Amino acid sequence: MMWSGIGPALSEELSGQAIMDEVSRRHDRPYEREDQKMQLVDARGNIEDRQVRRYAREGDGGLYRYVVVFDSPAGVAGVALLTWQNKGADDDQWMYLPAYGREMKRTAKGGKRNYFMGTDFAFEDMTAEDKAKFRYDRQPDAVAEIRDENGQVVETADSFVLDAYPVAEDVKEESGYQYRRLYIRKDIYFIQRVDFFDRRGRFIKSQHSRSLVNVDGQTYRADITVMDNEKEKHRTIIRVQGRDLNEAAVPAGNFEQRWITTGRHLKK
Amino acid sequence: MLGLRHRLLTFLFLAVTSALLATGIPQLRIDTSFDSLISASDPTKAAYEAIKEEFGSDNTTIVYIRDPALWTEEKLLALEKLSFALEDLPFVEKVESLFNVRSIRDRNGDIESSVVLDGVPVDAAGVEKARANALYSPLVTRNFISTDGTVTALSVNVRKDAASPDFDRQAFEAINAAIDPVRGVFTEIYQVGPPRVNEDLKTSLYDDMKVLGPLSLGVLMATIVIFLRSGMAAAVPLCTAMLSLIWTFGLMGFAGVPVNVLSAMLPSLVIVIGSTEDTHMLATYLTGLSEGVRGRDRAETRRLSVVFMAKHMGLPVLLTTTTTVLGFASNGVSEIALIRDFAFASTAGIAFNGLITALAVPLILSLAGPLPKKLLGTGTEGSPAAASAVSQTGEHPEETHQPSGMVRRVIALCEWACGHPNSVIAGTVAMVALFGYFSMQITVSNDPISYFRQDHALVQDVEKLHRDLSGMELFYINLQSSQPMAFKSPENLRKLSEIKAFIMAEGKFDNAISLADHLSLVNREFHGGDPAQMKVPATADLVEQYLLFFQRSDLESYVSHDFQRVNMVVRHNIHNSHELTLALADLERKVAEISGGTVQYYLVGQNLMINRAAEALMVAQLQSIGLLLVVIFVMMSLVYTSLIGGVLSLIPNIVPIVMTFGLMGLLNIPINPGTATVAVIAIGIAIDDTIHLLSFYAGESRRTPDRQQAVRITIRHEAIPVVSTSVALIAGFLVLVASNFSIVAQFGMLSALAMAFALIADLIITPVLMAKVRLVSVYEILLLKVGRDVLAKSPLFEGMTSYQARKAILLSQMTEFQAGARLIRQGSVGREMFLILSGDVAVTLERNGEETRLATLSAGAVFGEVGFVRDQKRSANVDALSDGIMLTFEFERVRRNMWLYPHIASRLNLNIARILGERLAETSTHLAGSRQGEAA
Repeated sequence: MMWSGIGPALSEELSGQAIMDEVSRRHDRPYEREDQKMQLVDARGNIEDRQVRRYAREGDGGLYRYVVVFDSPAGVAGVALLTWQNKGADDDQWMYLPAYGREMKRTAKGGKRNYFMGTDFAFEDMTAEDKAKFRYDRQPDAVAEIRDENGQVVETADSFVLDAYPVAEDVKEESGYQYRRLYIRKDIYFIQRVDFFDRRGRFIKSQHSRSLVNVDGQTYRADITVMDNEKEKHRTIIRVQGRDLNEAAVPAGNFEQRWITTGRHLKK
Repeated sequence: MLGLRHRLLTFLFLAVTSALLATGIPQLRIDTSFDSLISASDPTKAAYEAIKEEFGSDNTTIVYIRDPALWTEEKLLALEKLSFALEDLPFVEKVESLFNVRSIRDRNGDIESSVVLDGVPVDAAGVEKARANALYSPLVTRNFISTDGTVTALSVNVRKDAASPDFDRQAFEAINAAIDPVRGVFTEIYQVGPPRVNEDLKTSLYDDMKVLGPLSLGVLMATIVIFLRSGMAAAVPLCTAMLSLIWTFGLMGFAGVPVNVLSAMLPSLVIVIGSTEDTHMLATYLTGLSEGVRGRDRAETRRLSVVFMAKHMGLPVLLTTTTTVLGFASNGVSEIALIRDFAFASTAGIAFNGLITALAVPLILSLAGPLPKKLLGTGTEGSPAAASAVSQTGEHPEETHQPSGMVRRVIALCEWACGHPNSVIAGTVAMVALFGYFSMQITVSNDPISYFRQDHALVQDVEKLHRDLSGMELFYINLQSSQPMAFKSPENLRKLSEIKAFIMAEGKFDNAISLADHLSLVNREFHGGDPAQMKVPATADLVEQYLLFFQRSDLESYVSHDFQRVNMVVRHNIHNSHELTLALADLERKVAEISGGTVQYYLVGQNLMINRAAEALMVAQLQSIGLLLVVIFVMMSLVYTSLIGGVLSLIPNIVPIVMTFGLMGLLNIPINPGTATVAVIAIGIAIDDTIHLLSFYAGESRRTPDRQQAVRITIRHEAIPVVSTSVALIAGFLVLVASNFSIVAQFGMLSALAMAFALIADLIITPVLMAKVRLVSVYEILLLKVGRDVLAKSPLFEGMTSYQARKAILLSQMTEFQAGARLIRQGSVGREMFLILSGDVAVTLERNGEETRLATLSAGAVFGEVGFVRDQKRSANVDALSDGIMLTFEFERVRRNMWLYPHIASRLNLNIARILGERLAETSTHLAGSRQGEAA
């Protein structure tokens, strides 16, 4: 990584918080549905493919609700995970295993740092972050190296560098990270790379986003995201095959248990 | 004799070789690795390597931590710190502990999935919850937490750097360094695992070498001084042993053969075994002096005594060194590197000692050997100068010198045995049968932990781990299917559950964890923690959906990515190979039954291969014994020019081995890498005394017609050297009992016993066997001085090679006669036949007071042959016309002696028949002539 101290005068003066605000302003969207091809790659290169749908909808007070539905492999088709963010409290989360029965199983609180369904994403990596609960320390700007699914550097991005430390006690306690280092592409304020450091400050994994597409105005999305888990010698690759930012794509009803327990979520 | 003739050259050779080989010593390395305990041809090795590659190494070190107040923030913080420190070690693949083992639990209908200790809880409630979670999960209890919650373990998976010979020490020290900062925090903390075992093996091995070598030396010197009463006699073996060790360790350094648990006893072995030859040689040197070998000056006296020694000890020393070397070398066929390396080291050690002894002893003695005046005060009873003062040609000391004390009792016992051959044989057969029966109960063992004494800290630590958690040892049960995703099917997963149920019901192994346990746990918790639901999910879809709760890293030790192969990790604490073999046999039968035809199974692990090598030990043991017995048989048959002679020389050496094995069976001492070498080494050493006894007897029986008498003389001459070397060996071997290793201590104890048995066998059985036969050694045949013309022209040896004729001569008795002596009196009865070697005799017929000379016979001629074949009166007188030597063939003796050499016997008989025939023809002609004369 090459250090670069040169940047526009304006951005030189920006605080970490201000940069994050700009990131949110440009890229946060209240409604989103993605069709993802998810690949889990182990240390030997064995690949497990999954097809999932991911729904997100912003509710009152900027709180989001999420649903992830598995479509394949056949054995897990219909598995769903429903998450509701709560104001000043732990998220609510329910899991649906069709083979187990019609009821949804609530997952106990406080599992944010657990990995999500065998991927390299922790639950806390997959939900919107409450910026008030973090401190964003600005680091010298840098050229971020973006790696592909094979670990090769395929592009670089002139970036702001922020270290995100949890400051709210609840997050501090729950998070699996001491801090995350965010590389934010200067030209579009897009977080293109995140390095994760565990509670002792040791590097665990890094997330690389590429094939950026301008989906709306100043809003960008990555079609390929690789989470390269150094510690677990494991990698998760997400390829977005379809995306819809319209409200109609994520009706509020989709975020209710009924939608899932009645099997309506199976309809793609 | 090089050491005598070319003293400077010999000295230079010894000095230069020692200097050169000494440079190899710094390259010497120590090998205590487990790999050296595994048979190279283990049938599961390939499967093991593949399974290890896929499911991770079974090279696991466990850090055991005990503290009654373990579940406090302070202690848990220390535990976390330790876990991080271990994770940071470069050779550590992963650290499994309460900090990363998964807990899945029902919480009032909610499902909770997390690691047991997701960081150290910040309050007492969090600590208590974590403790409860740990004690709740069947994947955690007895694996990472004791049932009372006071003992936990960190399981450190180590990726061994095979290229680094020092790896284990470094790993052991690095893990200890990680432990040190928190050592004071916990009541008890220690590591066990291959690095610790290797390190403790190494430390104990160094301690052994430091203690046992000097101790053996002390014991040996004391024994020699007691028996030989000569400081010089003690110094010489010391010199030769030191040089031999320098040569051996230097060669091992150059050849890359490491020192291991067994070769650590090499200094003791070389000192003890190597000294026996020195002792025999010194005893003979002193005998030479006591027999009056004198030169013009000191140097000449020493030289002549050395010549005397070389003449009498050359063959026996060569033979005994060879057999001992063969004894050690025959371990070289073992498939286990530990034993092969030991075979190399010990063979080189003993062979070098033989060579150095042959060169250095004559050199040292010729320069600084004791002289007669110094002997004056030492020629007391019991000294070899007295006891071995048996001239090969002259008088025997027993006539003037009566031994006393222990030696007298030993001799009395031998003589009693000689007088009661049937009792001895019956007793021997009974003992062999009894001990042979016990030996059937022998078990095998090859577990590194069992090498240590029970009171060793490592053994205690391993026991504690087993008691509180699960044993340190582990192996894998690997099931493989040809069907993709086979182990997502409940039917196949249930096979794992059934195997586990069998293992837990049998109670022989401590714990077994597989994919089925992980899935059963999720199933249980999805059903409110109902223990009855601790079973494999009912459908394949449910299996697949439950699997979403696990990271790949949670399961990679248990299932392949394609679910075609599953791996059950079994932990145990069985350190007795026999017990383990039985438990495994039961398990394997059950696994075969459960897995059915569709699923292949493998039971693999370093632990199992080490165990299986125990079987290889048994096989190698039998192979080595067989090989050695064959080689000794062939050698002794050649030396004594008789197959039966070869067999007879083996009997006194097989008996102690059977006794030793029987004792092992009786006392439940297993065959392990230490005791496996006892038998061959014991044969190799014990045959030495047999050889010394047989060589002396072979010479003696030519001079002493009465066999019992010859045996008695042999015993009296050999009792002290044989007893003293045996006592020295027994004492030397007993020193090993002080070893840090139970296998070396057992080796020492059993070898001492084998030596004691061999001593008894040599003193009781060998004399009985000797009294039954007359052996002729090749050496004697070659040394025999008989004129070629005698052999060529004597009708008795017609059709025989010179070699056969010499042997026939050696089977008879040589007698000198003086001119005028009457050799046969007409009318007397005698069953002897005579062959004139030198001088002339006259055959005369006495009739009516008148003597008629019938013939004059000279060298090569035979007389008395009629009496030899038929018990009748002599028909003529035979008188010596000059001084001369004749051979006496006594009928009964020839018959007895010749059964070992049937070819010579038949030739001899044929020739006697021919002589008789010719005599008959001559007599007939003579009679016919007389009658014609009378008629005329």
